[in-house]
Amino acid sequence: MRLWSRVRSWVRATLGRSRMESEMDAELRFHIEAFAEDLVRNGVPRQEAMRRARIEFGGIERAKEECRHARGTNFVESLIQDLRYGLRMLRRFPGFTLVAAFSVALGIGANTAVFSVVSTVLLSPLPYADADRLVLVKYRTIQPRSGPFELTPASYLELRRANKSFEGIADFTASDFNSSGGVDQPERLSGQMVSPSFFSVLKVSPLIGRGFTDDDEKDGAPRVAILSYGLWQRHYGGQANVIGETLTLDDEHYEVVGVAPRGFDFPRKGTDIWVPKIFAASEVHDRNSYYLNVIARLKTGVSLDHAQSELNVFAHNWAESYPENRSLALTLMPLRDTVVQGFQQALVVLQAAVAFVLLIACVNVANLLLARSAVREKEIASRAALGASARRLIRQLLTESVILALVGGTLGLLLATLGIRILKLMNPGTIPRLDEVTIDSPVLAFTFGISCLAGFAFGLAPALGLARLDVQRTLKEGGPGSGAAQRLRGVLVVAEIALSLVLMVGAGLLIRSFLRLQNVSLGFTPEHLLTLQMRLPKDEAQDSTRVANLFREVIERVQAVHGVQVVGVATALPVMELGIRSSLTIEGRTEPSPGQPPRLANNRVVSPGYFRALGIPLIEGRLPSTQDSTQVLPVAVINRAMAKRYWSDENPVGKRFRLQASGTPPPWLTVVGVVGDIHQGGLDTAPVPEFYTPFTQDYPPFAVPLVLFVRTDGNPWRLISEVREQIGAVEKNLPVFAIQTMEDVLAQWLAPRRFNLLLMSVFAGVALALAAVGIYGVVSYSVSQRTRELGVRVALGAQPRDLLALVIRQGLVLAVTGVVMGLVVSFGLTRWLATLLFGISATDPITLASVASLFMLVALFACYLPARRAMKVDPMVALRYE
Amino acid sequence: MDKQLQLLQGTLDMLILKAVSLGPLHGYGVLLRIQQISKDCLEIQQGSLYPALYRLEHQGWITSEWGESENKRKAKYYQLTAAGKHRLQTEAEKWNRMAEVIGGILGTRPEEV
Repeated sequence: MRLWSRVRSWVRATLGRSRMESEMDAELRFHIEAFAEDLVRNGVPRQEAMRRARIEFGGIERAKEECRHARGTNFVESLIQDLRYGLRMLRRFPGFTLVAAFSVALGIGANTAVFSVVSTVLLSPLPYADADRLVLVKYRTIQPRSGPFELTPASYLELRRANKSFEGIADFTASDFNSSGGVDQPERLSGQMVSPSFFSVLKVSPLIGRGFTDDDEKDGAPRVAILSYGLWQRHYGGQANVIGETLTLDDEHYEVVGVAPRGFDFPRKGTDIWVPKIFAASEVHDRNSYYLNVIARLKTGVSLDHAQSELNVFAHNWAESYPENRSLALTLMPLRDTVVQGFQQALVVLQAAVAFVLLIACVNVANLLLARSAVREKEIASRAALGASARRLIRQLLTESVILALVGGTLGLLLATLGIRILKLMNPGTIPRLDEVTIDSPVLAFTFGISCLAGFAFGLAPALGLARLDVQRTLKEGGPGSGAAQRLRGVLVVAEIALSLVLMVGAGLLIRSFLRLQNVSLGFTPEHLLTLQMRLPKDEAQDSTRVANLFREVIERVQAVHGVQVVGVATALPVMELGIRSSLTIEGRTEPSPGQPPRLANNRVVSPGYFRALGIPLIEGRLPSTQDSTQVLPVAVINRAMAKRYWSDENPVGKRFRLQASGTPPPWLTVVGVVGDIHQGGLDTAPVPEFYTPFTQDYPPFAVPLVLFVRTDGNPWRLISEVREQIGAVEKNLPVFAIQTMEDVLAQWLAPRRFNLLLMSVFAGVALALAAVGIYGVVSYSVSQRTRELGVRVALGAQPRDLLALVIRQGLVLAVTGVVMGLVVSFGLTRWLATLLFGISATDPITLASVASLFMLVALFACYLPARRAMKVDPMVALRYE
Repeated sequence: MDKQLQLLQGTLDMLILKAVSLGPLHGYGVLLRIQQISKDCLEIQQGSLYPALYRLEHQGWITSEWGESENKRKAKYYQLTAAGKHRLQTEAEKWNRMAEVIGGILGTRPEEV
């Protein structure tokens, strides 16, 4: 009860401050007047009575202050005073306020923008129920340890049948469809073949209609499909009667049974349709086609480690029973890790970079505040002399800087909103969930928090300095700035230079890596190369002769277009896709014993013109030709990496290998040639063993897009319509999509790296500018302080050159100290960047040296401006000064 | 009464509680009542009266209400709460015991030791 009355009185006092205040006035007035009246009654004249009453009462203001204190409102009260006073001070120095607030705004804006991305991408849960229980199941090789790759149908099906750790397990495989829903223009739909359990594992139920049932995946079951919300809106205008409609995909009829909820597009942005994956009898025992993506939901109470140990048992048993499974391990990856994979590090680095920017901005503002301290010393000393305690003064000064920081933070929020919009526009398409990014309440809380923190950070040193003032001396002499403050400013500038140097080194390393990546020898010629993707209807894709004939005709017709040099076809784009991975048996070699790595290689099916179209050099033997038909022995061309890995000391031409498979082994492939390497997994990864088979003998195991490569004389874009026309003439129902030049394809691969680099450079640039302002401020302030001294020097015969050297030396001492410290810090910090770098070490001497020189140049310039002013000092004016 | 006694530290609160326990009073009334009961023996700093009243109210021992004074003017009246009554009782007991002990000590004659 007492607590309650206290709270009530406090709340009342705080909320009804002005009412309480006037009541207090009235009460005290009543007291004095009543007292006076009593005196009047005793014969004292009225005026004299009032005077005596006031004297008797004592200090009214002090009593009031004590009353306020007694009510516990003093804190709020003085805070409000401080706020008012602080705002007044900021208004009094508009130039200072503007510069300081803008510095803070830059730092806070950058932090807010990056944090909003981090908060969405890394911190907020995936938009699926209990998403932290979802894991992907992958294979990897044990020795050497490889990255994760997909499961085979046989292993997946066994896992699905026998596991005990998962509540549900589902597979999904990307499969694009050509839809011909009665329209002339065939459309390509981005689809997924999934197990019936797919939706239940993700705990997503259809918006309308039903999900898949176990019957849907039985061989011979009627084909069904679930549409995405987007496709439903686009094609059916969101009509509920779409359920039961028939859809033609790759010339097969599917019944629409459901529509997925809005926004659901797992596993890939822009997925249009899901259909049940039906395993053909031949596939059920396939232990060699690693293509199934598997997602599973852990049972409640089952830990990741527990599930992993169950998988280890599976992998162990398989390795004993099947040669194909030797040296293969199963691995679990939390879904969220795979979604953010590759961005986590870049985002953490960016967040660290912007934290540096904010730190530098704080140092800069602290510097400005120190400079202003000199102006305010007299004011503060007066306040101290009038009885303000040091604590009270510090609190007041800190309140001022926090207000300043909050003003900056508000500006920063505006900058961040703008920044996020720009980020979304520039999105290289590789930052997951970027569209979800907004400034929501956690982000606002973050911004508010760092603003307050920044206010304390930059306000503390100047406040402490001012509160320690020698009141007597300051009031008497009124002389400017103490040496301590100036020294502190020097220290701050050194810190500022060091911090921004670290950032610039980071940016420099990314720039150098990027340049290196651009200079990676591609192994082919990307210029004047047009790429188009096509997908055959499934029926036709099953018939290898038809595929071969179709492509022969397409190639011939496109080849005849004026301006086309060579045409080639392959099953994947170079650099962007690895191709299909298989394990091999090499003739005359024993199978690798358990524990040894399996012999793996990636495969692409190509046309004979492919190598010439891309400009891939032939190193040994011959290229495939049109003579390599199904009537003659199957051949393969291997890359140099494969030759080195499996035939290191002999000539591979003429050697034979084949794919491993259960049941009847496929025919031997004879190596007829060796070609140059291409970095198929990306420019930053080493070429892996790879073999090419001619499409006249081989065709892809399941329908994948085929890429047509057209090498042209001039600008490839000019030929697009003619090339499309020729393809259409061969097969009207063949959709052509993703038309781009090879240079665009590469640019796309480089885009996310360019993006990181750009952001990092912007932040480093801001940091450098802030540091330059810092040096300039300190040197220029000290020049104005030393005007008299400089004047004396000139009067005694110093040349302008001497003054210049004097001033610049002072600035350069700061700059050199800062640069050296920055280099030391860089040595410690840049190794965190290592995985983002390519071809250079994290302490690349060229980068370090050039960044250090850049800083020295900027510092020199920042010193030169005030030094020039020093040179023009007129001794007469200077000596009369003060 | 030539010389008034200076109030002992911490006793003003108790006196105020006692004063208002006899009936609601405004601030000036509290002053008069204490002076009247003490027969003008105590010197009370008028300026320290109000902070004490505010403190007691903040602690919940008295409540205040605006009312009309004897000469028809608005004045703030203070009244003892139940908690205040209890408080006054314990304070008074403490004081009495203290006075007894101190008095006993001061009244001690050499032969009694």
